[in-house]
Amino acid sequence: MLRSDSTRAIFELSRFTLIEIIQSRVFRLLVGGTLLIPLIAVIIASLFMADIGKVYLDVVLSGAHFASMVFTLFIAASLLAKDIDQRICYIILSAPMKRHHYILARYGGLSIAFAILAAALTITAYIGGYFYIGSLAELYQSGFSALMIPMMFFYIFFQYLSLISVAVFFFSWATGTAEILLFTSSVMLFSWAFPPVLAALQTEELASQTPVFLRQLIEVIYQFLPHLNGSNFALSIAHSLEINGRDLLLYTLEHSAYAGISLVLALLLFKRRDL
Amino acid sequence: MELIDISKEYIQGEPVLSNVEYSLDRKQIYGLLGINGAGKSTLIKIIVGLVRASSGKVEEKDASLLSFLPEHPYLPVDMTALQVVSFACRMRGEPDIETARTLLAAVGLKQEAWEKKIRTFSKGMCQRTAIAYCLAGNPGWMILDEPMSGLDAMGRAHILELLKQYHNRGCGLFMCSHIVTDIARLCDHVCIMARGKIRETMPIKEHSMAEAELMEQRLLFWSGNASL
Repeated sequence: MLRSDSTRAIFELSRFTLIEIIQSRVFRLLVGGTLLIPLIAVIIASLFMADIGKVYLDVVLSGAHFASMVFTLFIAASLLAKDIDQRICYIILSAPMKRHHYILARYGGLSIAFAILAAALTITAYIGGYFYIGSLAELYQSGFSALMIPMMFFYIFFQYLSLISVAVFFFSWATGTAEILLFTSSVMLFSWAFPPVLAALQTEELASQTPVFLRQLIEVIYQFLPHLNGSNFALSIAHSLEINGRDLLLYTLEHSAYAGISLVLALLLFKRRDL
Repeated sequence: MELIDISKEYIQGEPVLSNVEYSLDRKQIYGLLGINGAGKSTLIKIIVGLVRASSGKVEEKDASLLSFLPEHPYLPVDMTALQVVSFACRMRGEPDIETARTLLAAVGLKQEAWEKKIRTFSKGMCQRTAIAYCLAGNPGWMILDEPMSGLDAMGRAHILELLKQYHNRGCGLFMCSHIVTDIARLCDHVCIMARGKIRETMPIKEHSMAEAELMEQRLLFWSGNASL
């Protein structure tokens, strides 16, 4: 198949990035570790007297978040940081490769590797749920629907695509590992911490005690962060409720747009950067 | 290749390069000599596009492939030498595995190391792999920053010979090194850099120790450390 130079450059570096990640021990351990998540979920769910299915889904979802966070920080951000710290980007850019191809290809490779991890999480969670929860009486199955597990793939995948794009954004101007990890983990932390704070600020009592500028500042910062709570979509998965198509579409669009904007900013900054 | 009035300031008012002008002909091998902080690496990075010049430009008359070997090249440690060099071959539109094998053999990397992860390599093995990466795709120009770094005496002789062969096939060479004897052995011209400027250029005719000594004296002179 004939491909233009640009497409070939992006394709080749994406493939290279994917192989680099797959060959790293931490990724293999992480994918292997996904087998443990349903097992742990089954053990925890067994401790409950009812709603075992719901507990199973909750634990699986938490485990998936944990694995995805490890991927974002210790695989995606670390790989990008090494490119700067160890100057691996010198040799790759001399391939020759344009800088915007480099950004897109690294992001592409990381996204495909993350898709593999998310697929592994989904498959193991599905198998665990199907064999264990599926074998229980209806009373104990409550809150569980095996169909929600594939939905979890979309939920996790798009959410962390945003976060990986944040890591790429920081890579485009940060000086090395410390900065990339610090800024990416801070965004992750704030993204999780802000929604409950904002919800709490809706209460009249707390709102009256908080200075207006502080409330507005929190709201403004929140708008710049990827929205990791996933609003109704996350709630539907966790409680095995029917998923609204509109919620799913908005969720997908929101994270795709966020990743797109982060990448465009990363391209602009990286293009002008002295390496 | 023309270097036209290149200047660079990382911090305003502190020039690293000042009005560097030079013309490079692919038929010649050029050496760049200078003490630490002379501006050699910055000049090389500007030529290969890793750093933007504050003013001036690099003009290439033909759009040939420009290959770059950085100083202390780091390679992705979880990849094998064959994977890394294959990547360079594919990027440069060459059939990958066979060409990569030929290049790794040419740089003298032992066959049993080809499929090993770079994590397990010595400095010399990394350097050979990086040189093979650089040679992929028959580049029109090779810009080499300390190409002999980490190589033993035999390795240096082997790589110098290999670079000469590539040059004879039409590849332009521009090499930066601290090792005066390597430059004297390989290059046809030497540029002496000091405090951000090319201070002197000298032809190298005999590739002799006497020329190496002269170069060293001139380098010390321009760097302000000798009483010549």
